[in-house]
Amino acid sequence: MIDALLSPLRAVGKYAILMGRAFASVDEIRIYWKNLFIQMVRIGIDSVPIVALAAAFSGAVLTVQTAYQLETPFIPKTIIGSIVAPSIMLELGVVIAGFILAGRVGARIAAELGTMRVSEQIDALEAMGLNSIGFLVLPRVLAGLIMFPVLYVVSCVVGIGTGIFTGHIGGFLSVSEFLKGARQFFQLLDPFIGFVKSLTFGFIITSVACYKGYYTQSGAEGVGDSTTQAAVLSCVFILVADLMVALLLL
Amino acid sequence: MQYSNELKVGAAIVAAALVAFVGIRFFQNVSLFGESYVLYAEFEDAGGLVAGNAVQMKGVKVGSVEEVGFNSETQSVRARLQLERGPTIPKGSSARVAGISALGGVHVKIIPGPKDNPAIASGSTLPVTEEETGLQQMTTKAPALVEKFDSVLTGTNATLTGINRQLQRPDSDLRQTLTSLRTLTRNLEDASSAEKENIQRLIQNLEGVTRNVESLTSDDSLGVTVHRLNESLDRLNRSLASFEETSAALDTLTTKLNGGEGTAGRLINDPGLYMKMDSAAARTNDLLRDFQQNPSRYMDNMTLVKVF
Repeated sequence: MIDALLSPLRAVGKYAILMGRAFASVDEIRIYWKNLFIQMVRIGIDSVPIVALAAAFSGAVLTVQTAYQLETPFIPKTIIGSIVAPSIMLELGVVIAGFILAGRVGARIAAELGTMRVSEQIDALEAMGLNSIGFLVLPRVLAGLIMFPVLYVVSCVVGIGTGIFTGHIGGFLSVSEFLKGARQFFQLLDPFIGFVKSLTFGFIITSVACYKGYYTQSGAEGVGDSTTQAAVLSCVFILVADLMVALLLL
Repeated sequence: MQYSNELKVGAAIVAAALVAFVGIRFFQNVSLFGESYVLYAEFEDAGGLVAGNAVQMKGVKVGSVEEVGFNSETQSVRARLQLERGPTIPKGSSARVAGISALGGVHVKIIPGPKDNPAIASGSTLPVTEEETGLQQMTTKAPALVEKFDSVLTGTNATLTGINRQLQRPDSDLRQTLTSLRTLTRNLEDASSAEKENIQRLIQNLEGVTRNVESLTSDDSLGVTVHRLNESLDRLNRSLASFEETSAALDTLTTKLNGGEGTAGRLINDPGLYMKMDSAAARTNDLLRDFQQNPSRYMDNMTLVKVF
């Protein structure tokens, strides 16, 4: 009973120590420089197509549905732009990208590190005198922190772009109306919050996946468990963090 | 050609940063590169003005509101206006908040000063002409309107109460008028339903008459009639002329008779004749009476029956 209550606390502590050790080895990053760039390409640049695809559909759907809901003569059409653009910057662009990356990046990291753990490659690294956390965890977490804002920018540009395109093609509002509305209520806080969220989600996805993968136990089944848990926990923490950031910054 | 990971990542990060910067400047409605022109304006009331609203001069967009803040020293709203380099804003220009916020059309309106004046330096504060925005006008006029509306309503209420009281009293004029009106209507209804056939027939007859008159006027028969009437009148005229002659002749005759001319005239006018006739009648009377009394006197020589 008490163990059931304590195990989450123990997990939090283990996670914090892992992250602490990872960031403590920041000064060794020059040694793992090459590793960092490999992870940045795998986590960031390879994810651009799927993030752009998701953003395109969410932007299009958001425009169509906002236009449908605002079909009143009293509301100027420009308001559609004023709703769609900030919605994508604040929420959809970053949260949908976060969910997709939790599946794509989180599962990949957890499976990779889990396999290395169960095939004792991590132990081999340690035996060679390498700092396995600095070598494996830190580049992945740093790559997430650096590349997620880049993916956020891609998501916003593609989402708003398809929103404008859909509004124009679907005959809901013209490009200039959309832009006028988007500019009218634009605040620097909107992309700033999105940026903060992208940093947060990048850290959550990569660190949770590293934690789950690094501490994988008991063979192939354990790799499967940690992959699943990494994806699911990342999604749950993304939702919680989304609310926290909104509450803190708005 | 194989690009190194460093190049790929670096290009991605630089591109993203550039796009983010350009995008934010674009949505902030600021000219993308190059320094822009900044002016300040202090309003008494922002009237729904927010950052991002347009700055217009003579209805043309010349920039946008970058920031709206509260100046606690002067207790006014200080707006930072980011303006395009193109149009110069001459000294003597002023600014005010215009538009209705509910429709999202609030903007800062710059009323340009004389065109020969030099341009206002960047960073200076524009004088403000306070003019009531549409919404403010509505709010200031609303109480008077409400008062008027109230008095109208009170009047209406009193009138309605009076009518109601009149209606509730059974002997009131209004009620009686209504009752008689109702009776009148019912009577009229009855009459119209009862006399429906008659009215219909009347209308039919009227139609026939109209048709006849029409045919009369359209045929020659009227002309013929008039012609005949004319002839008759002509004849009548002639008859009247002869009658006139006759009466003239009669007139002369009467005059002659009166004047005692001729036998008839003397007969009428001479009293002697009458006298003679009277005496003759009197004498005849005597003779007859004598004859009755003494027939023998006259019968002497008369043999009634001469048998022998």
